[in-house]
Amino acid sequence: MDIHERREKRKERERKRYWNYLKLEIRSFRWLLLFLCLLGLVIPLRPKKSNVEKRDLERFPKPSAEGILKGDFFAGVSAWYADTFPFREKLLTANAAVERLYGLGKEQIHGSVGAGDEIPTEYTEADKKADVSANGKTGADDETASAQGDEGGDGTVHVVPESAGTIYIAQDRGFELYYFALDSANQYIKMVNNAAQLLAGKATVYDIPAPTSIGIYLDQDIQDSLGCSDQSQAFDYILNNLDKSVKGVRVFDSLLEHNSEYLYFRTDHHWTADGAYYAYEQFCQAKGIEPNAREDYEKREFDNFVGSFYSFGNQAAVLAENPDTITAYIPKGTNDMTYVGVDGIEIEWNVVADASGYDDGNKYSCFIGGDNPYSVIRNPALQDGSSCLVIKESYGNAFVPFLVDHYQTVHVVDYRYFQQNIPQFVAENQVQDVIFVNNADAVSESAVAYMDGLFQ
Amino acid sequence: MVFASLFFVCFFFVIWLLVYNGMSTIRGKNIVLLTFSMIFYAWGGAQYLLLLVGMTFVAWFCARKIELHRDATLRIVFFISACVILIGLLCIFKYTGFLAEGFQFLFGVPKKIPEIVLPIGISFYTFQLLSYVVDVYRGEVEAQKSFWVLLLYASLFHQCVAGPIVRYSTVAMELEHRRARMSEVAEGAWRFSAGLAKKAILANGCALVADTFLPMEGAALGHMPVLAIWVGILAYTLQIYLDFSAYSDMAIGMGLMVGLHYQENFNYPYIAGSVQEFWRRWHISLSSFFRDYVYIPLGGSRNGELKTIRNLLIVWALTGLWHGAAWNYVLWGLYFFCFLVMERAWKRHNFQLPFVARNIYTLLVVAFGWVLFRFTDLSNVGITVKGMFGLNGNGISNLESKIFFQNHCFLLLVSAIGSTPFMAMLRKQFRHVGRVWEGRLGRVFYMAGALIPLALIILSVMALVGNSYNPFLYFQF
Repeated sequence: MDIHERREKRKERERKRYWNYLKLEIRSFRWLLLFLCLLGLVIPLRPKKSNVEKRDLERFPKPSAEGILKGDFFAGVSAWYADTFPFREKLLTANAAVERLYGLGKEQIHGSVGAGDEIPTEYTEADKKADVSANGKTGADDETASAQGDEGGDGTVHVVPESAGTIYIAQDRGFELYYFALDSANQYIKMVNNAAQLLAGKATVYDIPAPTSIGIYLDQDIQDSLGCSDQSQAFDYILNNLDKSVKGVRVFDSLLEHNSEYLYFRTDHHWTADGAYYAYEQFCQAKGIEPNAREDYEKREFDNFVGSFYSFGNQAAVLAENPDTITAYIPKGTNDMTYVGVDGIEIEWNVVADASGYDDGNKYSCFIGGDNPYSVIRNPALQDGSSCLVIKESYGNAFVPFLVDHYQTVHVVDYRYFQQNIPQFVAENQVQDVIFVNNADAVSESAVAYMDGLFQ
Repeated sequence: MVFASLFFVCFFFVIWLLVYNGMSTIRGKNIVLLTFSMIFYAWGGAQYLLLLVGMTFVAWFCARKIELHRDATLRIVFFISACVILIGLLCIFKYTGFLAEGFQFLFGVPKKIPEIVLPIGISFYTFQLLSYVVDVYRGEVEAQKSFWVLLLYASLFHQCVAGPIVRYSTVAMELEHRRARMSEVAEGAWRFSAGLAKKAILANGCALVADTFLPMEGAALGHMPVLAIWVGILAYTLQIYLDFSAYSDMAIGMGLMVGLHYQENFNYPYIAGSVQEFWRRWHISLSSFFRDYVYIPLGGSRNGELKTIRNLLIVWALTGLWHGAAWNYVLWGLYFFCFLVMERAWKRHNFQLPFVARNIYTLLVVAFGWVLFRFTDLSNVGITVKGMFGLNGNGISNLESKIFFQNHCFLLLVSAIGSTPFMAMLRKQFRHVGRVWEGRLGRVFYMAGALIPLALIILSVMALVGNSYNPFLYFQF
């Protein structure tokens, strides 16, 4: 075989290999896309809710002539197609794993970074500038509360599409950055004072602003360097400007004093029942009653809780690897309650429910059945006609069980869903104490607007 | 519909490929292509389809008349009416609000600024049709006899909404006679996958960094420390290239899959050694449009320095305006005009720096240009410039910027590498090794080359699922 022939043969083999390579490349490309296309067409595989994001996914839009002409309908179809893609949660998790490779991740920040308003020592109307910066940042304002969920009761369904502010993850713990907004604080003060005025002579108003974990657990220097506002000062501002008739309960110092204890979850933005207990102690002091000792309660524990910091912190692995344990204290008087879900259906439930079978992300719902428009707990151990009304967001859930032993009736409303007029409700039910429980991030414009609505 | 969406990638595109490849005649293929293009365009609002079809009709009708008539006056009448109608419609839809604002500022009327929705892709297809009419008038191409073929040219979903601005002459033959060669189909699949990944993974990731460090609200922007601003500018610089070139990649890839050859639109602009070179590498189809249809007809650089500068000024003001109906875009165009004039002077005086210095200079000029490009509100440009030099009093860095940067540093690095020819060179080497080395090793390289597009698509689909965040920069145009 001469050299030419050999070279020819070699060339021929090269060509053939190249040809096979092209075929492989084209075929694999086509088969993959065909597979994805078919997968996308299997409608039953499409999820309706996202457990990780705690929200209902997009629905297929209703066609209308206008929607077709303007393109809204088609945009809806695209959004539905993408939002409900089969195996969404698995793909999200896989994607989060990829995104962890984007950089070094000892500490993490998720969400945009803002800045708080200056906290004044005296009552000040916010000027225009503060107004602008209040709009430019994240925080509990993002909490979109639309009551479009359904079912409820089994503890696996999430009613409000939750969205958190900016999350900071350091070591194995998440924090939500706190920014003070002067405008919102002023509106909050006005709202509470107005409530007290409307209820004057009928009921005593208590306000319990609850710190979030960043104010209690995170080193002040780090807080400063993150541009966060001082929650202690923020609460001072609010409490100092409340009307004399309002009993403001300052719980910050007590929580700070015990900050070596397990007062806040690592993977979730809520406080633990132990955190709520110290607030309860302060409340008792303000009301002039004797708190129960923690040791006297029957205790329940639910482990493997991986909460909102995980789902909103891009599924940070460090949180999933260090799940929380929820401790709950069952009231001595009763563990029975009734709640009315967003669908208006009344359900018999437990003050502390067994959450061991719940989704990992949802175990905080063990307290008073999660967030419902209205719940009521009647304590058969008391017959003195005493009654209170708690106006709360989800921080109130861990707090309410401690009140049960002090009132014959505890009414609880979640201001995001409750629709009735509060002064009327107070009159009809002979409520003596109206208790606001709000975490620092819930002092936001939208939250205040909801609460305000209950007094109009 | 946007390319980097699940609905497009997993549904529209696949169904199109299936139906298209099921057709055996070019006529059948063209009917499929046109139908899918109409659906694609109608997805953004069926009413605007009317505009696209109407404008194409004007171009088609006038071009036919121009070709049929020998009489110079009639030819020019049809030519001018086509231009007036096409440019006029573009102006009405794109610039009415802008002009009205200017009038309101100067004369106090009108009281109410009309709000007109910009039809998707109008800037792109108007320019395509214009180039067609001009080329016919100049006798450089034959007028298309069939309205449907011209409509196919103008509405082709590959490039109708985000470029490249394909010249009619480039695809005239291929619209009616084309064959997809196997090597090109494979190349097309590669380009498509690479483009998708560039957009869905890299550009969207950079966008997150840019939006965090260069927020749109002035108040938040004013709180950014120096390094955050610089990293934000870097991220935005990368984002805008990766985003825009990704759409061109996907368009060119889809074209290759069916035997349509569009010209390259980007040629690694960030490795340029001068602003002039940058513009030869950036959005080539747009700069060559302005060169061939504005600059050269005005006399180009042949009538003395003063006229040349005037011509450049016109071209760059128009280039700025084309990108958006706002003052910052005009300034952005004029900003480049200044540097181009300066570079002309350098050239005359044989002023020359080493390449690295020239590249850094170019990147700085371009990156700052993107700041102008980003903020329609010019006061934010001021805040950014002050922030770049620490004049907002926020220090060099802070903890949150440091962490956020650390969380995304590899992404930025990969994006920067992705903006250079490195990846393309790597791929070429892979192929070469696969071709030359016989035996197992060669096969491994071949296989790797074939499987990378698959990996890119899977990663992109994951990113798109996780990404409700998918801003489409070029809807502005």
